[in-house]
Amino acid sequence: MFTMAMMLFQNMTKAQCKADECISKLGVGYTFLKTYQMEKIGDEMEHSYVFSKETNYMLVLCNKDGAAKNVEVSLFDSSRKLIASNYDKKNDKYYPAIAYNCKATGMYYLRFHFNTKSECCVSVLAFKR
Amino acid sequence: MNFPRFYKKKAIWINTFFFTLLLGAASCSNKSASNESLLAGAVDTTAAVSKISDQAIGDIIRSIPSPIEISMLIKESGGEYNAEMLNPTSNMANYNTSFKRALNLGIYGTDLGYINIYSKSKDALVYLEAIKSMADALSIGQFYDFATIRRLATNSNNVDSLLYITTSNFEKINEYLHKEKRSDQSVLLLTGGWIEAVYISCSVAEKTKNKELYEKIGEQKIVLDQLLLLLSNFSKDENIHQLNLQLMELHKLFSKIEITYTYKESSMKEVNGVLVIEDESESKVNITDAQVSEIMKQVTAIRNKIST
Repeated sequence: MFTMAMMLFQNMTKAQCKADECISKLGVGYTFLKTYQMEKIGDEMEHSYVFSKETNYMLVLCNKDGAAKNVEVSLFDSSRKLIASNYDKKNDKYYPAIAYNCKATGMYYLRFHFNTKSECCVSVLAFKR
Repeated sequence: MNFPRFYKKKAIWINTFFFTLLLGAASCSNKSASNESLLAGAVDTTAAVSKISDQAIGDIIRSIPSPIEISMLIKESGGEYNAEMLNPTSNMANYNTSFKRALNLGIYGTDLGYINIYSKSKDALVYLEAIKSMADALSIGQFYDFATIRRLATNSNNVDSLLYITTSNFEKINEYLHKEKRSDQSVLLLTGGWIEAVYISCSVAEKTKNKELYEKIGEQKIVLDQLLLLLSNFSKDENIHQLNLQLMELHKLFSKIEITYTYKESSMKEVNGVLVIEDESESKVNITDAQVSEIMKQVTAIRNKIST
């Protein structure tokens, strides 16, 4: 009974963290590209993507309640040099969205660290020319 | 999907690949500036790929950029809509193997994206029918809500929703094929889509001589490296092996294109709660008219072989 209840809860949780709702938080004129999902507290993952110069990319982080404010995402270039992080150490602040005006085409890496009490996190990558 | 379980293993293989790539780049570079690199893209795919994990394959698949980005640039560069460039849906009768179906589903997917960006609803409906038929034949038709897509396609105000649904479907298909141990078909979908995007780009670039489009074509060497890595992993299949060989010929042309990258620290500011990162790095692509023509010739030969 407990297992069934847990499974139902997990399914509900997954259902509550939908990319569709995160899409609505994208800025005007952005076209959807990818979704990245995290479902367990403590999850860490890395994804790569070929970003193009003269293109604006936006990454929005969401949880079931809306904008995810405690998920850290760091952007690295092809040489693994850190470009930026949504976490502002000085002010202990997480930005729920980052916009990157890319000037150099290449492979980039997005490293996510999900360490909040939220049950899930979904992020959406989009672009605008 | 439990990423942490595979994270370290995946990272090792990805790092191995990029380390190989960097070694190749370093050995071909004549420049010694510490913050400038020449991405030569000399990839020995036969040596690098024999141990790619499933997780790494999935990650590389996700790293391939959407052909929609190229289609948007084509429209912005002044390229007029030209349905004659696209793969005719009448060719569909020739696609009677899963190899050809997967490749050409990718081709039709790129064609549909191009059509949607120009809001040509009549053509969109024709290509949607072709995609439905091909997707059903590959047992992935369940990911397409054709009634909704058809409704959206008939109204030019729905372009954003249409692009979202079609891109999102493709993402779901890739996840499904990966779970079903059919990643080879994902790779073929991506490869077909990429070949069509390069073919359309070259066709338009030869007419418009648009500099940005030229650069975009040159930048495809980065994507081709990824595709070759993926295809090599499935080269036990004779069809994929042959396709890989043809793309290796194309790779020889791309390897002559120089891409330089100069790193500079980015600047950041907050705008309406969003962290805006202004990139100060830059990349430059040196590509000539002759190189674009050679790529066009080779990519046309490959496309003809798989689409007719």
